[in-house]
Amino acid sequence: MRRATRRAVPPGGPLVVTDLVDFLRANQAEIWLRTREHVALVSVSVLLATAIGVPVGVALTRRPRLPGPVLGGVNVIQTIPSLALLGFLIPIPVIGGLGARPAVVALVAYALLPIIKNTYEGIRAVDPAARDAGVAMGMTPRQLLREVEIPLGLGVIMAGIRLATVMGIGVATIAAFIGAGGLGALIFRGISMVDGRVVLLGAVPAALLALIADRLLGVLERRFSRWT
Amino acid sequence: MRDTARRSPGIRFDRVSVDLGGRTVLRGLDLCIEGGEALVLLGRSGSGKSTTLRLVNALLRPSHGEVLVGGRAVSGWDPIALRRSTGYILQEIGLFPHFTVSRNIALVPRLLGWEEAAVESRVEELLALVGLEPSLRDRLPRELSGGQRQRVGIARALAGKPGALLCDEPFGALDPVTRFDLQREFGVLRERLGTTVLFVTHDVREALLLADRIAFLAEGTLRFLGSPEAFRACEEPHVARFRQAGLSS
Repeated sequence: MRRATRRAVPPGGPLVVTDLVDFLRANQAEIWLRTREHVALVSVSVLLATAIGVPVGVALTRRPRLPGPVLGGVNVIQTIPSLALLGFLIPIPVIGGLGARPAVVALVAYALLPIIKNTYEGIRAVDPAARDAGVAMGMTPRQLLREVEIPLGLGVIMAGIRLATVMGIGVATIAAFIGAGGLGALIFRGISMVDGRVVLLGAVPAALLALIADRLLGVLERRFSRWT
Repeated sequence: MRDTARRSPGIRFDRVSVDLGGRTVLRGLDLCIEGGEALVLLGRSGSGKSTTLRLVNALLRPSHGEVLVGGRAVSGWDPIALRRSTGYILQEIGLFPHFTVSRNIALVPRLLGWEEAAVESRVEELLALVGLEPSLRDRLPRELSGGQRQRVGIARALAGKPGALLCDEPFGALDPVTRFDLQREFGVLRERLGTTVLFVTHDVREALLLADRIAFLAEGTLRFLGSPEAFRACEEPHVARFRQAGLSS
C-alpha cells in the first residue's frame, strides 16, 4: 500500500520527506565517516594551536617588545585566503603536500591568532591589585602565573579557543580540496555533481558541528569567567 | 607586652633617592624605624609615601642609597624570601577572587611550606584575631562586605608571622564607620603583636591615632619626623597647612 502512495509522486518532482529519509539513509555511513574525520581534523588542530598559542600569549605579557610583531604576524596569516594557504602548502616538504597533515598545519595557523591574542589580553586584564598582592606576598613569577594569572585569565583564553574552534570547523570544509577528507569532501562532490542535496549532506552537519561546539565551549567559558 | 619585638626587624633608609620616568619621586631620604615601632608616613598623593613603602619589600629599587631591613641591605636579600617575611596590606586589598577566605589567608604559610595542619590552625587563629566568623572561611571575597574583605587582607598579611608589616592606605576605601572600627582594632592588634609597622596614609587623624612617630613627606622630601604630639605642634608651613586641612575636614 505504502509503495503505491510513493509511486504517486511524479519522478523529478519536489523533494518529499520520504525521499529525503531514503537519501540520508543511503549516505548515512559516509556522513558519519566524514563527520568523524572533520571532528578529528579540527580537534587536533585546536589542541596543537592551544599548546603553541597559550605559551606564546603568556610570553607576550612578559616582554613589552614582543606583542606588536607577533600579533602582527599571526594577523597576516589570518588575511591569507584559506584556499590559497592550502595551495601554497602543496609544494612544501614535511609540513605541506596533500592530505590531512597540511590541512592541520593550515588550521593551526588560523587558530593561532584568537588563541594567542586572547591569552595575552586575558592575562593583561587580570586585576593589577591581585597581581601586585601576589608579588608582594612572595610568589615567584611561575607561581603567580599558575595560581593567579592563568586561572583569572582563563575565561578570556577559553573564549579564544572557542572562536578558533568554530572558525576551524568552517575552514576545515575547504581542506577536502587537498584530499584531507572531512565534511568538505561531500560538499566538493556535490558541487562537481551539480547536486545540491550532496552539498547539503556536508554543509548541514558542518553547521551543526559549529553550533554544538559553540554551545559546549560557551558553557566552559562562562564557568571560567565567574571571577571577573 | 611586646614579647615578639625582639624578632621585629628595624628598617633604615640611608640617603635613598628614587627616580621614576625622569622624575625624582624620593629625594635623599634618611629614616630609621626601630624594631616594633609604628611609623606613619603621611603626605599628599604623589609625595613619595607609597614609593618609600615599596622599597622595603623590593617591589622597587632605590636609584641611590640603600634600604636596610633587619640590618641587612634589601639588595642583599632574596626578594622572594624578603617578601614572604614581610606583611603587606593594600588599599585595593587585592584578595584573590578565585580563592576562598581561608585559601587567601593561607597563602604565605603555604608558600613558606608549612605543614597542612599548621596552616589550618593558623587560619582559624587569624580569623579570630581579625574578628571574622569562622563560618566565613569558605566564602569567596565577592561574597564579603568591604570591611570584611579588608579584615581578610589584614589576616593574610599577618599569616606568615611577619616581623614587619607594610600598610599602603589600607582603610582608605572603606566607609567612615568601618574605617574607624578597623583603625582602632588595628591599633590594638599591633600593640599586641609588637610587629614593626610602616603605615602610609594621607589621613591626619589616622596618623595621630596609630603612630609612634609620624614622618611627613612633601614632594619626595622628608619635612617632619617626630611624635604625634610634636606633629600637632609643628609650625613648618607644609606640615601646618596639611595638618589644618586634614583636621578640619
